[in-house]
Amino acid sequence: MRLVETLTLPVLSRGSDAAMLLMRLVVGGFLIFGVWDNIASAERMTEFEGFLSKFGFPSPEFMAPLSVWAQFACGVAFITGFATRWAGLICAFNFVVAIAMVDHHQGIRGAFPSACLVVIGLYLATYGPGRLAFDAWLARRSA
Amino acid sequence: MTSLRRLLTLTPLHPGSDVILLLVRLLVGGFLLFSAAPYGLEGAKLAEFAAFMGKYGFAAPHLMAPLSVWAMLLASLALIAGFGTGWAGLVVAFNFVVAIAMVDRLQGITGSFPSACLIAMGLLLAAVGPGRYALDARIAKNS
Repeated sequence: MRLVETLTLPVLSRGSDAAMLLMRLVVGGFLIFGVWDNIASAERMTEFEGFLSKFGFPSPEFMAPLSVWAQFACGVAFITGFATRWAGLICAFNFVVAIAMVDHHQGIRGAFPSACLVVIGLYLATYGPGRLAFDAWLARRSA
Repeated sequence: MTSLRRLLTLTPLHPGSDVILLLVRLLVGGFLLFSAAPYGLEGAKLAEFAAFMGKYGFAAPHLMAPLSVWAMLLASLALIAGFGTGWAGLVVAFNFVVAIAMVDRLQGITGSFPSACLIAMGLLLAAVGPGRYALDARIAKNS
């Protein structure tokens, strides 16, 4: 029994909510950081439209702000833990598209950050944000 | 009210979290295996890595390079199999905290993001565990 516990370290499960919060802050913070220049500067948004157009996206003038604001909303949702599962699904979808249309040209190493955002998004969509989140507070209040 | 809460929090997605944990393990384990294997298999590549570590001020790079490479190889296999997952997650997190502190921080937030994801996912796997589809789960069940 002791050997099994030494191998599987169940004692670490006490930190699972803190680990979930850390993951949400890292990913949410990065998503906001990644699109903030597009939000703050019309010039950078136009540049992003050109980038999407170069990679064959349809209607880049519509897709660029849609993707930027979706990423920003996902970042805010991850950090606060509000509607986290929806944000996880949107984040995963956004970066599946990014891999299919852009990142696969850069090989495994280049596509790895987007792949992380896909699996982390899916994990947050299925497991939820943990206890240190607005969603959990809402669930406790309405229970 | 309950259905509105379920719609907001998407709790019906929860049963999929074990499959996504498997996906997280395969992504992290596969990427580490892909990255570390060439250094573990070729002496010339390992010497190159030791020189890289020496350039960034690591102590005893000729000892640290094989230690880091073999730690990543073992951790990657452990994560893929879901065996000793807690230990493997801690080793991955520690390795990439050092990588950010010594190397990646010089490349800014975007350059540090893959390592930050590996820390967050390593700690997540250490705390939450590998999920149902893992050797650890089978061992715990049998004991």
